[in-house]
Amino acid sequence: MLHGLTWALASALLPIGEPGEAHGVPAQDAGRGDSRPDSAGIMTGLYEHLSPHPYSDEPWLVLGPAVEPVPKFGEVDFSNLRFYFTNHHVAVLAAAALVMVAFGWLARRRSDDPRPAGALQNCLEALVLFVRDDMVYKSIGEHHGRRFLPLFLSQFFCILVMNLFGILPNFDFFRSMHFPTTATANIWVTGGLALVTFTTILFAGMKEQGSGHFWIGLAPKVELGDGASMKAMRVAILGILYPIEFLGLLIKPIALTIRLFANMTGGHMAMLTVYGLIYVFQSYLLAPIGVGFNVFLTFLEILVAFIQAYVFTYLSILFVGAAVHPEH
Amino acid sequence: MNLPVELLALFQDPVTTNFNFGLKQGLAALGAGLCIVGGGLGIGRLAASAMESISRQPEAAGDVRGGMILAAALIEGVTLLALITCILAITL
Repeated sequence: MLHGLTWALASALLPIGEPGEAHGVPAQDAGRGDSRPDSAGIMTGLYEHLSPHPYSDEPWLVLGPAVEPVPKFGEVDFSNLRFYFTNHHVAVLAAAALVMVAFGWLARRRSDDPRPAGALQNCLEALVLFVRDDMVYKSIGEHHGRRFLPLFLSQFFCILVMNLFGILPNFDFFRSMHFPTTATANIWVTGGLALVTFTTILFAGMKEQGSGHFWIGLAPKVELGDGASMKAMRVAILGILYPIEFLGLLIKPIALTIRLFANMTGGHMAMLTVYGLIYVFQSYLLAPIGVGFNVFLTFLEILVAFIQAYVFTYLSILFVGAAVHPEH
Repeated sequence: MNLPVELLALFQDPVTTNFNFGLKQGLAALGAGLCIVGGGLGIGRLAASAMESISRQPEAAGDVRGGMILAAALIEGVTLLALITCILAITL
């Protein structure tokens, strides 16, 4: 027992190294002149797992000056855009392909033989029925729901697959592939998904209510009376209410974007931070605790993946439903 | 033990060195804690009223659970929005 304790204490004091040393990335000096591990460097290096990695040095599209000016510290420049093909693109395309293959197979099986059979078919059908009956038809009703059902099913399953993709470890098929990644941890990906919802709200709402009436009907009817002061008060109330409603129309997709992006990024950042703490403290005793906490966070991430897909799709249903038949 | 070296780091070029400590970062970390206070209070009240509703009427448990998850996700959305602001304050 004493031998075991000594071994544990001795191995607790041995250095662990840097996270990159396992696959050949040498440790970098923090420039401080001592042997403490570079905690900020380790964390920043680990957080690289969340950002998109381009597969080529040259962008395929350049919108801006030919030579990119050196960016200043902390500056975000939208006047020169460089478009690269990144691992997040591959993740989005892979999720879309997987969804198409899986549900194409399911549709083919159902058209051949409508009786449910097999575990996979039951599982997929249960999810589809959940989205259709408990989410779409309950909120919008069957008539309008049939029109928008493909959109919401696609959104739900694509977001679910992209979220779950991020929980898989990076088994890179070749070095620097950075795949599979969390595509939804990229604000532009979730922004694209919310843009689809926003476009549906606008187009479906304008088609259903008429273009002008859609914009006028954003604010509720204010009925006060016939006197001049009542009319003035109505103008004042609508003058405050209408900009708020208009901003609300814009803010809802932005909130959808940020909610999904922040949930995914936050979960993965927490996992990477706990993992990086092992390297910061350079302790073999901390490693089981860190890994155990990471296992718990992984299960939490799976739960959050399902919940975020459900919430995104349900809010899209509510917004499109409110645009298609408003209550007032 | 290394105080003079650490103080010297304050005068280095912020673009090229690892300058992640300062009043802005400290206040941003404090702000992140405040985000948790607001979000935790909100979701705690939501969970309490959901538990009460389910115990009063167990047949409505499904509807209550669905509404609880939706409201919790909305509150968490705003909390994370504020948290993103704190993270931006630290890193930018």
